[in-house]
Amino acid sequence: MEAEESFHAYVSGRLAALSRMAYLLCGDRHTAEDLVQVTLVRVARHWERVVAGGDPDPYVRRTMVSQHVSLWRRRWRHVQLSEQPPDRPVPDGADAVTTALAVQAALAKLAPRQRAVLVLRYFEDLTETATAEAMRCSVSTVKSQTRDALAALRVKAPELADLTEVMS
Amino acid sequence: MTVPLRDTLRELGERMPPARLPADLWRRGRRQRHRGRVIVAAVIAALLCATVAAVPGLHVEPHPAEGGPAIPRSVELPYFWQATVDMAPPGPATVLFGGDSAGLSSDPFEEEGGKLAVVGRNGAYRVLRYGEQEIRAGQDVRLSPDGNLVAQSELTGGPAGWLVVTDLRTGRSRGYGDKSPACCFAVAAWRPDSGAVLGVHYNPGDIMLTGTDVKAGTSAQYVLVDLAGGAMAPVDDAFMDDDSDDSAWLAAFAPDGRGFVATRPAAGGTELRGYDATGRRLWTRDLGNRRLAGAGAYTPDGSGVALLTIDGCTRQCDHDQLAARRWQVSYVDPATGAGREGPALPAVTGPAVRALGWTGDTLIVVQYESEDGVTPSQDETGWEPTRHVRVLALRPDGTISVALDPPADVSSIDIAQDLLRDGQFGGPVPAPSILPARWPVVAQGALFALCLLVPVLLATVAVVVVLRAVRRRRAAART
Repeated sequence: MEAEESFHAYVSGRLAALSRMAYLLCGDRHTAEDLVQVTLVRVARHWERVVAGGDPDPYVRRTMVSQHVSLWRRRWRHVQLSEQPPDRPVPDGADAVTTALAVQAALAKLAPRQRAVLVLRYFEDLTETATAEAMRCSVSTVKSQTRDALAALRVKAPELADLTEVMS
Repeated sequence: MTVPLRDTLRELGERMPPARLPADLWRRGRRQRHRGRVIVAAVIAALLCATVAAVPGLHVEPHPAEGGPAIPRSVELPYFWQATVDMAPPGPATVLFGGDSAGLSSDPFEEEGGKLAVVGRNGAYRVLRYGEQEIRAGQDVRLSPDGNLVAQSELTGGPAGWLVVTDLRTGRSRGYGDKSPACCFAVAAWRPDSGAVLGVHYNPGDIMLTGTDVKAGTSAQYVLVDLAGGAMAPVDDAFMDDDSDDSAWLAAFAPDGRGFVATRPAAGGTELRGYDATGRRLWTRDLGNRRLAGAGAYTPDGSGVALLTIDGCTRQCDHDQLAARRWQVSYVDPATGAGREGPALPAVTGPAVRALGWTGDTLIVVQYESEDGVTPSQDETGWEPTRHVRVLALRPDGTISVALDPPADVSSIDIAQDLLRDGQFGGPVPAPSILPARWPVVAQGALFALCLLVPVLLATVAVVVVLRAVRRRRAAART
C-alpha cells in the first residue's frame, strides 16, 4: 500500500513534465498520452526496485525513451511512405509560433533516437553522461547522435539553420 | 549549446497538457509484474526439464558406493514411467527384482503385461517389460553371473526367439532359436562365465514313448545355448513335463563351469542328473521329495551340490502348512551323485527357499512368503501366491541374517553372482530417479490429468469472470 501511495505521489508530481517530454518525443498528443501510459505502467511494475535506487527520474526517462523507440517501430510498420511529406510548414522566419511549428515538423523527420537525444539534451537539460544512461548507450554515442541530429535538422529543415547553430 | 533550440523545445512542450491516465494504472503494472514472474518461472522450469532430459550426464542418479559396487541392503520401487533398459542402459546390474507395485505391474497407459526392475551398479533403476504379468526375477528371467546380461524367453519390443538375451550395458537384445512362441522355453541357469545359458525347451502336443506307454503331452529337453556363436546343443534325452512349476530348482553350474546338474520329473518325484561341460550325462539319482537348492547350489570349491529337504507338507499344502515348512540343506557329490557331508547350515522356515549362491561357507538364499489366500493347488514360488521375498544368509555357526530386505511389494529377486560371491552386501539403498522416463507414458499421464483438470479450470475461470464483472458494476455504481 505504501508503494502504491508513493507511486501515485510521484505520478501526480511529475505527470506534466513527463507529458511534455513524451510530446516532444512523439510529436502528437495522442501518441504522447499512450507513451506516458505505457511508461508509467512499466514503472509501476518495478516500482519498489525503482525507488530503492533513489531518484526515479533516470529510470523513468530510460523507460520512456525505450518505449518511444518501440512504439515508433510498431507504428512505422503501418506508415504509408511517400516521397514528400504531406504538409511542409514554411516559416517566415519572424513568428515564434511558426518557428516552433517548423521545429516540430523537423523533429518529426528525425530518427527516434536522434529526436530523443535532442529532447534529453536540450529540453531535459541532461548532461551527456545522464543522456547516455537514459538512452543506454555510451557518451561518445550521445555526442555523435547529437551531432548527427543537429546536422540532420539543418539538412531536413534548412530554414532552421540559425536555430541549430552550435554555440559551444 | 543551441540556446534557441532549447527555448523552442520548451515552448513546444508547453503545448502538451498533462496526459490523461487510466484509474487502474498501478494495478495494470502489478498485473504485468505477476504475469512476468509466471512466465519467467515457466520458462526456467521448461529449460530445466529440457536440459535434464536432453543431457545424459545431468540425469540425477545416485553414484556407486565408495569402495566399489555392493549389493544394496534393500531396494526402492521404480516409478511407473521409469525408462526401459533399451532406452537408457543402466550398465551392469546388482539386483533384478519383480513384484506387483504400480511401477512393476502394467499401468493404464500401456499394453497389459508386467515389468522387472534392474538396479545398476551406479544406482540407476530401469525396467524390462514383458507381455506376461506374472514374470519372476531369478526364475523366468535370470541375471548373468557378471551382472551384464539378462536371459528371458520373451521381452516386449525384443527380438524373436525362444531365448532373448539383453545386454544391460548397451540395451540391445539378441534372440536365439527359431520363432517358436515364448511359452516354450524356460531359462534354467547361467554358465559361470556368462557365456552360455542352460534352458528347457518345451514342445506342447508332442507324443512320447515312455517305456511301453505312449503319452501325449508336453515334451521337454534341456538345451545349452552358446551366446557368442548361437549354437544350441541338446542336453540328454527329452522327458515329459508334469506341469509342475519347479523353475526355482531346475539346474546349477559348477563354479569352474566344468559340469552342471539338472532336474527332471520322475515317477517317484524328482530326478537329478549330473553332466560334464559338454552336456554328457555322468550319473542319475532320485531325489524323492528333496529338491536341488537352486542355481547357486554348488559349493564354492565345487565339491558338493546343495539339496533342500522339506520338513513338513510337501504337496498340495494350504497357507499354514506352507508357512510351517522347514527347509534343511544336505549335499550330494557332483562327481557321482552320492550323498556326502557339507557345511551344516540352519534350517529355514517358509513356503519356499531357493539358493542364490555362496559367499565363503555362507549360503545365500531367497525366502518366500505366501499370500494369505493361497490355495493348495498354487505353486509356492508363483507370482500370485507370493507376497514377499527376502534374501537370507545361512551360516555354519547356525545363525541366519537378512542380507537384503526389499519393500513389501517385491515378490521375486535375483542377484549378480560376482558380487554375491565376494560378499559385497549391505550397500546403500539407491533411490530411483524420476528421469529418464518413458515419455509416452508421461505424456499420456499428463493428458489424463489435464482432462481431469479441465472442468476445474473452467469453473475457476467462470468464478473469476463473474467476480470481476460484479466488481466492475459496483465500481460503476459508485461513480
